[in-house]
Amino acid sequence: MYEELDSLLLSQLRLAAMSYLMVVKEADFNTIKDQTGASSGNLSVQINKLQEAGYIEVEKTYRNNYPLTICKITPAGIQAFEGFYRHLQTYFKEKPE
Amino acid sequence: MENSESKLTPEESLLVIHQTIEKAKRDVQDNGFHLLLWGILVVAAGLVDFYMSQAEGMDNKHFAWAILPVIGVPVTILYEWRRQKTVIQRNTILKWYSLVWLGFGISLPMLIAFAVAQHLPPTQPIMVLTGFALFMSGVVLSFRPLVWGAAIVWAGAVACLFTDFLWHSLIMAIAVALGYLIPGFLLQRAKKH
Repeated sequence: MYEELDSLLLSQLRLAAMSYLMVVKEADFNTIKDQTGASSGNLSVQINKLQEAGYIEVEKTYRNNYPLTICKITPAGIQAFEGFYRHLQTYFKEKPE
Repeated sequence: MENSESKLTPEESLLVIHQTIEKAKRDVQDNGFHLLLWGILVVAAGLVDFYMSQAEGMDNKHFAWAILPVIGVPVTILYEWRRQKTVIQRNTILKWYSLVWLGFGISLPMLIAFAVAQHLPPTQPIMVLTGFALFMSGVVLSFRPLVWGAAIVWAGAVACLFTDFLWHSLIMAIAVALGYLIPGFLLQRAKKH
């Protein structure tokens, strides 16, 4: 059962970022950084991995002359997260006491 | 979050999900500033209007309500302008919350103008619209006191049906104090903790 869990989401930072995006649907890079307590470099790497998997979309823009990176969860990301959560629930149900 | 590449156990995964979602829900909430500002203004205007309508020898032209946009609109614009400059943030929950109140802000003057043009008291439709905005805010922010606040303001609108127009401003002041100010204080407190 453990093997069936999406390995991409078995990382603390990626899972935290996805959990946050499940609540807000989209957020800027710095907000996700504050929420997860990650360093910029580490978060940047993990965001790229999530983007490559199609779980999030990244939009680079400007606001008040400052660069702004917006991360948005995709339908595939929502499906993956929900599937991951369902698998977790099944794991705990079937886990021997 | 340094061990982001080490594989989590199912127990750790569940903990990360729950902790992040709980924190996110708390943090995306508005700080209640606008609810407090407009709540205080509406309660003050309602009480002054009620006093003027009850006081002998006073020709109440309902000028107390005119103070609302004169103070509220510039303070709101200034606050938002300063906030936008310092906080670069975008998330869907706050976007929908802002859109609800933008819709309210557009509908309100139209509603007042239509009621006045037809010589109807605008208090009840204002309270119905306010209740709707509070209800939507409560749903969007997942903050139950705002939903209860909406119920109180709607109840105030119904109470106006059974009372003389002279009492409407007092009913509105009470309904807004209970349904708008209290959730505003609770929202501010929730944000601080």
